[in-house]
Parts: sequence; structure tokens; C-alpha cells
Amino acid sequence: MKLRTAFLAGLAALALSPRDALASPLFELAGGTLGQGGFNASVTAPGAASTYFNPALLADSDQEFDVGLLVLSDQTSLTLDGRPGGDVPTLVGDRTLLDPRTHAPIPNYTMPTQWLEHGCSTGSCAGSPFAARPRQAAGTGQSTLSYTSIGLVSRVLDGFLVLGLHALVPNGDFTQLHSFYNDEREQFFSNSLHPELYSDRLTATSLAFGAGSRLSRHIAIGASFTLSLSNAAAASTYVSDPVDYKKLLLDNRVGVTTAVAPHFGATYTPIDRLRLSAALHTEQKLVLKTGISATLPSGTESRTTITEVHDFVPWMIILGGAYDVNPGAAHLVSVAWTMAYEAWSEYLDRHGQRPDSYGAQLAWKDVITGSLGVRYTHGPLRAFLDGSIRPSPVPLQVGRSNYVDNDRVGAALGVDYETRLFSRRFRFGIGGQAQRLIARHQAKQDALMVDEVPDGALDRNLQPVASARGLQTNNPGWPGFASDGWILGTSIWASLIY
Amino acid sequence: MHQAHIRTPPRLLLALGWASAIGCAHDRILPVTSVCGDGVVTGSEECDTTSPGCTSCHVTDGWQCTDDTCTPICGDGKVQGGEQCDPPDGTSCNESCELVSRPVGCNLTGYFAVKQTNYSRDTIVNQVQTSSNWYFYRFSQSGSTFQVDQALTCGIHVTGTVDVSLDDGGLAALLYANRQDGKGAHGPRRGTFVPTASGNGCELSFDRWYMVRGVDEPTFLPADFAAHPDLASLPPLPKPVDPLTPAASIPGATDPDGDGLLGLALHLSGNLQGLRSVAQRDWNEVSTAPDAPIAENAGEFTATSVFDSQESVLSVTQCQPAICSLLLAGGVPARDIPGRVKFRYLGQSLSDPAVAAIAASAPGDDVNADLQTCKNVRAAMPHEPYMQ
Repeated sequence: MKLRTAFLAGLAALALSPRDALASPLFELAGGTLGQGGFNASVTAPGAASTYFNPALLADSDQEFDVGLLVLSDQTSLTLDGRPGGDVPTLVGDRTLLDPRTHAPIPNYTMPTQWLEHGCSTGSCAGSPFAARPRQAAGTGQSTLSYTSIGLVSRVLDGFLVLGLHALVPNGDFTQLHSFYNDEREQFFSNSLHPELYSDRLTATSLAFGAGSRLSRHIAIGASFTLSLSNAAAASTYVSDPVDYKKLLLDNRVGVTTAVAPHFGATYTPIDRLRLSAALHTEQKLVLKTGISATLPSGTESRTTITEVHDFVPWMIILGGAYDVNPGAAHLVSVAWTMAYEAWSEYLDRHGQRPDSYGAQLAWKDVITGSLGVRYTHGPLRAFLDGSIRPSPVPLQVGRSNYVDNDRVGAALGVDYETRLFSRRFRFGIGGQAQRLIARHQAKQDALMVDEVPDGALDRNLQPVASARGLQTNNPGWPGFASDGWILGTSIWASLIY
Repeated sequence: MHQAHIRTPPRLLLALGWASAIGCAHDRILPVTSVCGDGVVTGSEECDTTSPGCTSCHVTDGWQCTDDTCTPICGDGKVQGGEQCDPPDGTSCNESCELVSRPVGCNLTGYFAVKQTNYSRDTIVNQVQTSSNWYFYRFSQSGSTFQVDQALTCGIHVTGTVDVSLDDGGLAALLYANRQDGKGAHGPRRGTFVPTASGNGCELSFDRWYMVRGVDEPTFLPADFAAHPDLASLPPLPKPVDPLTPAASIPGATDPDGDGLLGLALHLSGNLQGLRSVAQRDWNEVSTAPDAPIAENAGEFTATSVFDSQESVLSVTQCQPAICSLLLAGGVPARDIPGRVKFRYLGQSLSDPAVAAIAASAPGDDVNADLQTCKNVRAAMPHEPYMQ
């Protein structure tokens, strides 16, 4: 009883833990890639992968050590509609266009479209040559990455507590974070659109620790957390020459702390052939806070703090079950199903903005995802086949924002085989998955865009600029864009059961 | 096109099967059907405007098109469009490809468009600031002496660490300020234009002239320009208690542009943005360099200028609070970079083609017409930022 009380106290402590943790978008995308979990890992296939998906399942897991290799290929295609005009005039490069009403200079938040497409060399622009940033020349929707999968399950305290660890570690480049803007501000950087929920999110290092315990014959509970580093940096600069940053003096201070986000699970087995499961995953995100200060030779100081949010995964509730169709049969067949409520309306993008800041009609929505699959066991051979559907939480991007996402359907399959080697039990498996990003086109509504050069703008001679009439925007998503693609994956793994 | 980025050893991918075989997705941009004549530059169009410089939506040889307009390239040796000559030769053909014919000998009589370019350094990061001041003059010369008969002050533009421009109110306020034509408290401004000792041209000397902006002229201008007093010896420019809080009244300060803020409103853009209302005082004098005489029949020539200036920032507004204090920074003359004044002869009478192309009417007859004349002067002699 004391053990049980201590375990429950531990769960409560987890619930009160800090939340700025490394998110696990990779776990959510790829599903269980060690063993037979697939897209139903929250309800079936107890093993190391259960540590993240539903730690209560750890209570039914063998003691095992797993290692595997996962390859994921993100093949997202972006097709941008051609620009029928709407160019920001080259006069903007003079930085002397005036607002027709206030005669104040228009803000510095735009560049001549021609400069973006073709660059600007000394002589035609005021400063050093400006490098071209052609539209969609720096997209990030295609990459193939490999990961090492590691899993460990160990029973302690006479088997009352089952500890689990599951990690997916990218091989090669470690975690990458790309804080692109989702509107016309991206013109100054990549001038391209990027998949919102894939791309750099696929490089996240996913690491989960947890424990499960069977409280009775019918009930098991578990808790786990994803672990990461949280970063805070202060960049102090002395700007001796604003047009020659080679002379910039920089004094950085970086602080790194660990952070966790807890997850909880429970299973209920009313009869031997049926197991019902529930899991709660709390919100996960990686927050980077950067304080920037600049000191000028005049003694003037300016400072700001920029907060970025990466790898956001909303809180979600997962319910499901697994049912043995023919219990005790030599060719055992089971079905598994999962439904998840995902609170994407809470989403924070890479600049910590909520999508509804672009307008209520552009707010993201909560979604319900579903998976259905079948498991087959015959002696040492196991196999599974899952299908899943996941509607996009992102509404049609008819305004300033360019969140690229698609409805997604997918299938996963896998097979493993248990054998004895060196007097030890081993299991070897292979799996694959294909997820289709269903084609989607979205056309912008000009009235919802930012007219970066107001109508009637005046030049330095206070003459109206004809090319300011109508909409001028360098929003790379204007006048519309389409996206589709595939997420493809394959994995192999080996487990030592001890 | 953006190609698949492979971060995994290819052999491994092959071993793992089909994941390596599907790296075929790519980004693309759909072509746009261009409609020549719709006024919108799309697709392969280079221009889309009604002009002989834009033929079938492609730039005609010898022309250049930007945004809304096409103009012939002055200097390519082809006389076309509105050009009267090409290329400019510094004497009979000026830099706008207009024919000019000055009176024979060292005689400045006639209408001139003038751009004075001075250099200063800001007090923040010591960067060079280029300021252009434009004027429209009618000179008359008798003997070796010439004087200003008519003058318009056509505005200021500054580029560098920050860009400075005036609004309509500011341009109108400067138009007849610090009169050089003798209709004010001083002047007319005079100078000499005489043959050099060696007889290889003419040399120019344009008297020192003092100017103030945003303050009361009688109080802050010297009584005797010819005495060449230092600016520091004159009554100090008015200073506000706190320029971050615009004051309703500062002794000596005026609101020449009528924007409700004391001082002349300078609109700052570029690296810093905001409105700086200032009181200014400066002087300048112009002369030819000893080794650079002016050709007797030159339609366009350049002289050197020296200047000194003072500025008091009366208020800064329309700025981000964090950077408002940066707008208080001013500049000091860059003594190592000589200023220059470009004179462009236009003609003897208002009906001469080059004068008529600039002057909307006789100077002083109509404010709106004179503002238009000034705009034409600025367009004909564009600001040239300092290039290292």
C-alpha cells in the first residue's frame, strides 16, 4: 500500500512539473516504431514505446532492451500560384515613400519585389549588394532523415513498478529549429513557405521516461514525461558601425535548464479479451527566450526580448481499446482502435503567436483523430496493419498567414519474429508506413492581406506614385498556394527480452 | 527547384528500401498568363505602360523603365524621346540632354537650377550623411559682379544613417525663407564671376549666406552677413526643456510648416523613423577650386562649397519609445569631404525650352506654381548619396 501511495504521489509531482519541455511531434507523427504499436500504440503492444504513448501499458510489458533504425522521408510539395502583379515598387528602396495622409515615411517593413527576385547591386541600391531571395527558392518541405530508436523496459520493486525509456535520436544533424514567419515578414529571410507541422519538427530529439504499475487485475496506471533542455540567451552587442557588422562586438550569455512535460495513462481490462485505454498528454513546447540589447557609440541603448516557441504539441486525450477476436487460438487476431482529441486551438507558432492573431476566422481548431488496426499472432510471429485519419487543424489560409498543413491519412504495417540466440530471447522486426498529405489549394483574399504600400503614397517630391495603387505585397503565399505530399517511413528493430 | 535534402548515407537508404526511392517531391511556382496592356507587369513582361520606351511590353533599346514610367537613357548617344541632344558634353548639352547656350564670356546672367551637396557625420556612429539643398535662381551680372534677382529655396533631402525629407508644409515654409533676392532684410546675395588670371576659364565666388529655419529670422540671423560671424557667436538657438515632450511655447521658436509643433518638421526614415522638429542655422559660401576653372560657355558646372551649421532639436515624435532618444542625434560637418554645388544653366527667359521645362511660372507669382518648379528642379538634379 505504501508503494502504491508513493507511486500516486509521484504522479501528482509530475503533474506540477514545469511544462516547457522538448515536444515530441516525431512520436505523434511516426507512432510506435519499436514493436507492434503502430498508430495504435496508445492502446496496444506493451513495450518501450508505451513509455510515451500510454505508460500504463508498461505494466504488461516484457523486460526488454530495444534498438532500431527509423528512416522518415518528408516529401511535401508546395505549389505557389503565379503573381499577377502586386509588386512592391522599386521606389520603396529609396526609403522615402510617404504616407499620403500623414506624410510620415511608410514603415520599413517591405522591400522592392524586384530586389527580392533578382537582388540589387551597388549603384542601384543605396548600400552593399542585396542578395536575391527568389520566392520559394528556400523551401524546406523535402528531406529524408534517419533516427536511432532506443527502448528499455525494466521491472523493479518485485515487479510492482515497470520503468520505461523510449528515445528517437536523429542521426547526423541534431535538433534544428527554424523560426520562420508565416506572413509577409518572411520576405526578408527565406521568402518561402514551409510546412508548419513537419520540416524542422522532424529533427526533434524525442526522449521519454516513465513508469507503469498494475494496481489490480483489471486496472493499470502509469506516468511519464518527456525531457528536454530549455534555453535562455542574452545577446549584448556594441554596434560601432550599423552598416558593417564585422565590427560588431558581442557578449553572449546562455542559460540551459532541463524541463519536463508529464503524460498519464490508464488501462482497464474488464474481461481478458478486452482492454480499454486512456491517456492524457499535456501541452509540450520548447521555448527559447533571447534578450537582445544594443549599445551605440552615443551611449544610447535599446533592448528587447524575443520569445520563440518550437515543436508545439497541444494537450490531447486519447481513448481506445483492443479486442481479441479469437482468444486462445493458434492464429490470434485482435483489433485495436484509437480516438484522440487534440487541442490545436491552443497552438503557438514559432514566434509565439496564436494563429487567431491574424483574425478569428484563421484560428486553428481542435481535431479528433482516429486509427483502426488489426494484429495477428502466430507462435513467434507477430504482425500488424493500421490505418489512420487526421484532419488538419489549420483552416484555409485566405489571409496574411501561410500555415501550410494538410489533412492526412496513413497506413502502417510491421512484422516481427522471436527467436533464441546465445540462449537469449531476441525479437527482430521490420515496419513501414505511408501517410498521404491530401492535396489542398488555398486562394488569398486581397482584402485580408497587408497592402505594404498604401494607395496614394507620395515620393520624395510629394508626387503620387501610380504603382502604389491597389495591393502590393511580398507575402510569399500571395495570391495562393497548394500543398500535398507524403510522409514515408521504414524501420527495423531488434529486442533483447530478458 | 528545391531538391530533396538527404541527410542519411545513401547505402543505408537503399538497404531500407523504398524510402529512398520517393525523393521526388519539389516546390514550384505556377506560370501566370501575361496580358500586355493591362498596366500590370507580369510573367515575362519587362514593362506595361503606354510609352515609346515600352514596345510590346518590352523595354525599347535606349530606354529605361521603372515602376510606372519609361525615360530615354541620357548618355547613350541616341537622341530620342524628349531629348534635345545626347550625349551630354558639359557645355552645349547638359546632363538632362537639353541644349543650352550661355552668354559668351564669364557672365552668369540667366536662370539656373542649382543643387548644393554637403556632407556631415552623424553623432551616433560617425557615418557620412549626404544632404542636398536645391535652389532655383535668376542671376544678373554686371561687370564682374552678379546678384540674385529671383530665388526659390527648393527643399532639403538627407540620406545616410537616417534619411530626412520634408513634407508639403515644410517645402512651402522654406520656399521664400532667408530670401537671397534682396526682398528681405538682407541681400541681395552677390558674387563674382570673372576670367581667371591665366585666361583659361572663369572663377566663381558666391558670397556667404546665412540661413535659419524654425526660428525667428531677425533674432537669430547676424545683422551683417559680410562680417562673417561664427555661428557660435550668435544668440544661441532655442532649446526645449525636454524634447521628448513637445512644448507649446519656446522663446524664439516658430512653427513655419504649421504642423502644430514648434520647429521645422523633418521626417526621418530608413534606419530610424520618426518626426524631428528642429531649429537650424547655417551658412554656406561657394567658390571654384583654383585648379578647376569653369569653361566660359559651360552649360553645367560644379563649384565647391563650405558650410557650418547648428541644430537644436525642439521635439521628437512619431517614434518608437525605445528609439526616440536616437532621433535627438544630429551631425557635424565632414570637413574631409568637400561639398559641391552644381549649377545648371537653363536659359535667358521663361520661354526658353529648358527654363519652361522647369519653371511653372515666374518665381514669386504663385506658391503652388513655385512648389511645382521646385519639384521639377529636384527631379532634374536628383539627390546623389555619398558612395565610399
